[in-house]
Amino acid sequence: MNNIHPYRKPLINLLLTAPFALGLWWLILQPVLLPLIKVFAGTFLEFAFDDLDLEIAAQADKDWLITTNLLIEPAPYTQTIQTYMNLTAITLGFPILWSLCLVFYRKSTIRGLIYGSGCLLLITSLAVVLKGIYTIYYVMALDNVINQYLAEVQLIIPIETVSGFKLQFWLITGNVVNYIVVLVFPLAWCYGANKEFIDGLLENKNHMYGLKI
Amino acid sequence: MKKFVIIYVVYIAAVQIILTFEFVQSLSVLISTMLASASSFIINIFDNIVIQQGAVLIHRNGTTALKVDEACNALELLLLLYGAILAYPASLKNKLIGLISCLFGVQLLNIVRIISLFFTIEFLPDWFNWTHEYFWRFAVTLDVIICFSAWIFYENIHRKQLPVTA
Repeated sequence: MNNIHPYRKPLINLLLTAPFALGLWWLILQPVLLPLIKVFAGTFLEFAFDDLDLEIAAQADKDWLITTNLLIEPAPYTQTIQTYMNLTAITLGFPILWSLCLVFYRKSTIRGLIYGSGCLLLITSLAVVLKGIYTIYYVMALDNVINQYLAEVQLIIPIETVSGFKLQFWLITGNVVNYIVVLVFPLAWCYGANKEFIDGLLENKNHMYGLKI
Repeated sequence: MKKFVIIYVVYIAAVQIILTFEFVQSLSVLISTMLASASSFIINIFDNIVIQQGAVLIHRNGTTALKVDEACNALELLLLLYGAILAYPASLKNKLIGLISCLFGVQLLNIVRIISLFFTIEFLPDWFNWTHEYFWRFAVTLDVIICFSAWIFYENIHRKQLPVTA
């Protein structure tokens, strides 16, 4: 390993630590991560949509769903509609953060992992809230939602059929936060953790941005 | 760095808006079809078992079919990676090298992903959901991070050889 170029070492270490991070994520996903997200996101969603009786729950111990009772006009009764939202995939930022932390953290890895995971948990909950809001508005905007439900057609969100600025806004906001959760935050956190190393890479370029780091 | 992050987050939002345009969705279907063609070509080199119909790979015995959906062609991730490369302060030449090399870096792994998922349906159907939804999503995201990091390292090495002006 000593002959490996210093730039290649972190990349190789990243490949070595990634399987462990993915395994740890899968191990604590059902008992820890998703229930915590349910607490944070569920509380907010139930507060924001108090008349809809929202619930986030595990489905057959595999995927988690947001379930809501929507009163859909002109239907004179409350109809339960299950809106599929893959919460598990949104939590993939955790193994990515852990992999990066194990590779790039130098000073206090455990503290970085704990604080980083805490912050990521809050942002992931925010992403779930935004996706939940979009899902609810989407369901409410459908013309034939009762027919779709009675035909037992699973409601998957087709982007091309969504119309209206409000829906587009929530869709785009939800997707942006999704990418921030999975990609941008883990990278930014590890940059903050090992600023000296990465700034060393950037030092020759700062004049191009006029930055004073 | 702050400017880079701000530019990048604005870029992500712009990409999400652009992705809702109809012509981009047509392009996305075309990319999916190209990925399906490449995957079926590679599988058929070793064993002539795949028929390709558009973005769908079908086993000749009719037992297995896999559609390369628009969400599965890594276009979104690639655009996000391109945003990071374009926002990063580098020379135009190095940016072009980054754009081209990262295209291959991401899509080659994506082809491996498609081929592996085709055989996962065939031999390990119970594992398809896990590999498709979680393992490969994680792997492709990690691949994007590695491609970007590798390009930054390349760019840095290359830049140090140039005279630095005050």
